[in-house]
Amino acid sequence: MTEQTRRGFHADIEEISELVVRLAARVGDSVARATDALLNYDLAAAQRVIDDDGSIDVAAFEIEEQCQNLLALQQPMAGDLRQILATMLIIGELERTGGLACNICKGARRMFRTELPPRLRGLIAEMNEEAIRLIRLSVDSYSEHDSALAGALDDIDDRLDNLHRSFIQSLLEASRSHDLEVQPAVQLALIARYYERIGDHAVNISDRVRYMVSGEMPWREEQLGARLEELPTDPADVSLNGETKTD
Amino acid sequence: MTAMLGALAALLMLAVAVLVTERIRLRRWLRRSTAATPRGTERRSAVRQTVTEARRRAETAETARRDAEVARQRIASSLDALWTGLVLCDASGQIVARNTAADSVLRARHGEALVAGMIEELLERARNGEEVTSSVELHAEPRKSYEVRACPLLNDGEMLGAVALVRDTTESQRVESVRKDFVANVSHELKTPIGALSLLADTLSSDPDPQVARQLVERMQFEIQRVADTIEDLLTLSLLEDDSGHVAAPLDIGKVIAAAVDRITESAEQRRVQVVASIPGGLAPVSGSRRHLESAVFNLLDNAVKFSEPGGRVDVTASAGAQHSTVSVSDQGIGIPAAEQSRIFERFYRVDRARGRNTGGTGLGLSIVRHVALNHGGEVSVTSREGFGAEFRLTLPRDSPAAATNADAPASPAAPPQHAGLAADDGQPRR
Repeated sequence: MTEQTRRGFHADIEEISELVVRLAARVGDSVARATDALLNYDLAAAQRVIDDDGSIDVAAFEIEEQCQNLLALQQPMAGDLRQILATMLIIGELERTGGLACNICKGARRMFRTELPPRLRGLIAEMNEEAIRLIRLSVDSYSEHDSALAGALDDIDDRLDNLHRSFIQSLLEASRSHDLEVQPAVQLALIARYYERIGDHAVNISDRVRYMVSGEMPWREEQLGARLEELPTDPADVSLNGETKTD
Repeated sequence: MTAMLGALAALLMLAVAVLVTERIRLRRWLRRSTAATPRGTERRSAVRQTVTEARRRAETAETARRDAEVARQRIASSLDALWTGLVLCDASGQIVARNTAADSVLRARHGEALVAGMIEELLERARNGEEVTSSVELHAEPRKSYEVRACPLLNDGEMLGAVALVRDTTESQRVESVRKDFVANVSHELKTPIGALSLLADTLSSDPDPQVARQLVERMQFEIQRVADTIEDLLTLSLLEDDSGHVAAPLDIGKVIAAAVDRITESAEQRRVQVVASIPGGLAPVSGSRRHLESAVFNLLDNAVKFSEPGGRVDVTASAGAQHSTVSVSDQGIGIPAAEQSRIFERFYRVDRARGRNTGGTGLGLSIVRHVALNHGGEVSVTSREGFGAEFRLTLPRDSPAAATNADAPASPAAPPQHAGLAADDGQPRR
């Protein structure tokens, strides 16, 4: 392969990486807009988020197509190959996150005219911030190839999980004291779950980043680790684990 | 053998002879061409002239190149100094130049990545001859807005490329919305009670029943009080803005807080809100106007009480740092949404408008607090989670040591704090 094509190839990979960053920025913005719509009881804003989701999907498909082209035409290897494979999976996670932002908006529409208790509003705002922070950190780890950051994301996600838990608790208290009817309470429980899922998608992205940087598959190790704990004396499993690690 | 040698010697001699004659001819020719003949001199000076000319041209070119480089550098540096981001692309769409402001946007990873996308999109459209402007709002914190404008670069109809300009409009938009809201709110705050008064007066003039009349008059008095409060607060604010008559005296901040707590007690009791003051003894004095500082602390307390649920609690504490004293007022009320926290110090700005609550204040209390803080060289800040209460912190610079000697309280920051229930001197919270 000539120097020229090679340089073109790396510019292509660079461009794909930039497009992923932009896609993530759009998705993060969608989440923030969905939260605004929910907290400001703004149906028009909710509709705009839902309308814009189509173009997020299109952007994701376009990146996927570029990845496929590179795979087919350049036959990348090692780190380059892993980056393209990881990217194809990461854009799927981002696209799902955009979908969750839409779900938040649809939830906001279903519970229109419900006055939210201040405490629930506060927790929604915090879940929103935390979810966006996780998306940003996962993208940071992607564009900086920072597997240490990616590895930490699962623990950082605990905060969002805790917020989710206290939200559900406040929700129960609010409906027990009749501040909230059943219908909106159910919607709110679902909405809280969407935020929590956004965090999970960010963690999934960070798993892909870890694979991209090191070639190790964190989920597989964890699985094997769990299996090892079940069968601690089986030497075959130990060697299998060893092999996987050196992969 | 001898014959061969002889022939060789003869050949050698011949060659030497030829060489010698040739050299003599060459010398003669040279002398002829270079010596005093007029044609030779001419040619030589012509050559010399050409060389000098070429050298001068090279020097001129070098100077021009250096000048152009300096000029280019000067323009590049000026562009880098611009607040506006500038991106230049050639006719094929390749970005050929960008200044520092644009660079920070184009390299951005999170929200600003959306702006980068917009820049490229508009450059593309500008290359097709369109002149376009568009704005981008970033909704995730920190909220920002940008304006991007792109136009084609043409020279006699030939497309040279396109230029995009990016401007951060966050601040200008904020100022604009502050101005708009102020105008709308001030008329609302003044019109509403006047409208109510005129309606009440109409009813009063047509209804002779003394029972109804008493109710109407009560209602009118309430509305009159509301207008009076608003005007009073507006006057306070304009006095605060005109800082010329500011009299600074060393003050015991503990006494200032005590006075403010005293004033709030009644309305707090009405709302069944507990106000608890814990002021450590020996706080360093601050310098300022007692009346203004008291009104600032009172406004913070008033706010905290208003936004507390019945049975809630408001804590007021004071602490001293190396250079500042801080008064903190915290409540467990409904809190302030994060997006509104930067705006609550604006005149007439009400969070409760969006929340459909009416707490009956003038909407000017926190502006007064901020003005007092600024006049005293301090600041006021807020931390809050919606639904989990709010904490306002009023930070004031300490009085200078010279003034501290004649302060009305002996100042020693190292003194052990004594817990003093300010409103009642027994350390018990007062309701």
